[in-house]
Amino acid sequence: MVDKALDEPLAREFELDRPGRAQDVLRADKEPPEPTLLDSPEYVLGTESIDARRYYSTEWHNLEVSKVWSRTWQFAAWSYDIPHPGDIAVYRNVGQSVLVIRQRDGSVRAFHNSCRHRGRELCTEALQSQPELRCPFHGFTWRLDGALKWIPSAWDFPQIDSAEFGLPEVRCEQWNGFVFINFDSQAPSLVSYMGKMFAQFAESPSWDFSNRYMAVNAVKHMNLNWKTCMEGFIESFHVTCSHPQLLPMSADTITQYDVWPDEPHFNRMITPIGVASTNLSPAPTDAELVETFVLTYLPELAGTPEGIQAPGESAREALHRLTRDVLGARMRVKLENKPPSWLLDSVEYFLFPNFMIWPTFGAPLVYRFRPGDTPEKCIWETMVFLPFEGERPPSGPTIVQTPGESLADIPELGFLGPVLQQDVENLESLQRGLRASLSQKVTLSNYQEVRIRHFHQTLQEYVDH
Amino acid sequence: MLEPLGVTFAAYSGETVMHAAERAGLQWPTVCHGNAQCGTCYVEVLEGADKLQPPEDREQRALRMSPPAVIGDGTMRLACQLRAYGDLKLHRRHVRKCEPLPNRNQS
Repeated sequence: MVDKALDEPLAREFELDRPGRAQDVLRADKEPPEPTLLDSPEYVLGTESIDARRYYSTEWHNLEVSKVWSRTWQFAAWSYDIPHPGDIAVYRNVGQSVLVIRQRDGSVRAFHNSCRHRGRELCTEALQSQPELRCPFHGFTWRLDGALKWIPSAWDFPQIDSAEFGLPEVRCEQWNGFVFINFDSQAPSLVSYMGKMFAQFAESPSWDFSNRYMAVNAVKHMNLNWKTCMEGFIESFHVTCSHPQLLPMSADTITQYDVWPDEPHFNRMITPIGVASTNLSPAPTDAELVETFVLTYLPELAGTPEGIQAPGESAREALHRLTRDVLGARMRVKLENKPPSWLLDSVEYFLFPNFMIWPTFGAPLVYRFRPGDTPEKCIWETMVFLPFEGERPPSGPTIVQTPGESLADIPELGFLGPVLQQDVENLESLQRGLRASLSQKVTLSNYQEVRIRHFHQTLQEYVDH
Repeated sequence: MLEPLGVTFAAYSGETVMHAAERAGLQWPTVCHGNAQCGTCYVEVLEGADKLQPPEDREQRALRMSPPAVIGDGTMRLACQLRAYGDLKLHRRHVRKCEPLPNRNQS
C-alpha cells in the first residue's frame, strides 16, 4: 500500500522543536489508559503535495464512485435502530440505495432497494416491524429474506422465474453495533478490512458501544467536497486557529497521530484534555485551568469547594474528578474506575473511506461523510453516543440542516454545536480556496497531517487498482 | 484596577484594556493577539460598565465562545476590544506580571 522507503520513524532533528507528546500525559495518569493508547507508531509517509482537483473535479468524483464506494465497507445503519424483525433502515450513497433489514432469526441482511419490476425504491424511509417488502407502485412483494413472495397480475409476467426473482443481496456485517455494507463480493471481510483496529477495540472494554445510545444525529448538508469536510476532522493542528476557545484545557499541539504502514484502512489520533495548549500564552496555572473548565461546562459549581482544584490535585485530576462525579451523577451513569484517558481525552479512529468513531466519553461521537449529487456537495453527520444504565433509551432526533443553517442552533449538540459551526464556516471557505489555488497543490505537514496523507495513499491505491 | 492581581494601570482615553495592560508590563492571556477571534482574553467588568461602548459584532461573536459564566455579576467583554473611557474595576485571573522573555536564538 505504501512506499516502504518512506516508512521511517520521524527524523531526530524534528524532535528539537516538538512541544511535547500525548504519551507524557497518558503515562503520568494514576489510572492507566487502555493499553492500545500507549502504542505510538510514528511514521512519515512522504512529503508530496496533494492535487487540489481531487476536491472538485467530476473525473475524481466518478473514479471514487466506480473504484471506492463500490468496493469499501460503509456504515449503513445503527443496529439498535432496527431491533425487531421487519425493522428496516434505508441507506443511500452516490446513487445507490440499500435496505438493511432485521430478519426473523435476529440476523441482519441488506438488499438493493429497487423493485425488480420497474425499479422503484421498495422503501423510501425507515420502517418498523414490516411483515414483508411491498412495492408501493404496483405491489410486487418480497419476503424479509429477499425471496419473491407475490406478483400482481402474475398471468401477465410469464417471463418471470419466481426462484430467480429474489432481491439482490448486498454484503452486510456488524461491528460494535454498527451495520456495514459492501457492494464488492471480492472484498475482504469487515474484520479483516479493519485490521488492527478490530483488535484495539476488542481489548478496550470501555470502547464497547453496546451500552451507548444515539442521543442525536445532526445531518448537515454542505457545499463542499466530502473529502474537504472529512479531512477537517482528522487533525488537531487547526484547533489553535479555528477553536481557540478550547486552548485553556485542550492539548492540541501534543496530539498523537497514529498510522501503521501495513494498515491501509484506519488511523487514529489522541488529544489529551485537562492540559493547556502550548499555544496559549501565558500558560494558565492548574487552578486557572480548572476554573475555565468549571465556568464553561459546570457554571453552577463556580466558587464552590467542589468546583476548585483540591490540594495536591493536578488540573487533569480535578477535571477527571469533576467529570466522573458530577457529570456521572447528572447523567445517572456509573463512571467510577474509568481512567482520565476515557473520561476526558479525545480519541478518534478513522475507518476508510468515511467513518469516524470517537470511543471515549470525553468526545462520544461518530461522524459519517457522504458525497452529494455533485463533487462540491456533501452530507456530514454528527452522531452523539452517550452511555446509559438500565433500559436502553431510544435513539434521539435526527435533525437535518441546509448549508445556511447553524449547528450552534442544535441544543442537543451542547457545547459541541458552536465548535462544529466554527468548522463549517472554515471548511466552506476552504472549498472555494481550493478552486482558487494557483498552484493547485495542497501542502501537508509530515506528522500532524499524516492521517490525511495516509487517507490519500489508500484512496490512490483503490483508484489505481 | 484589576482583580485578583490587585494592580492598577493607566490607559489613554479609548485605548484597549489589553494594550494598556501590556504597556504596564502585564501579560494578558490571548491566542489571536488582539484580533477578537479567540475570545481567550475575556474579562469581567465589575464597576464602570456604564462608561463603555457596546460590543461590536465581532466581539459579540467571539464572546459567545468564551466561558458563559463569570465569577461575579459583572459584564463580560474582551480585553482586546474593550476601550477605557474612565475608571474601571476588572476581574480576570490568568493575567501575569511580565518576566523577561528568554531569547532561545542566542542560547
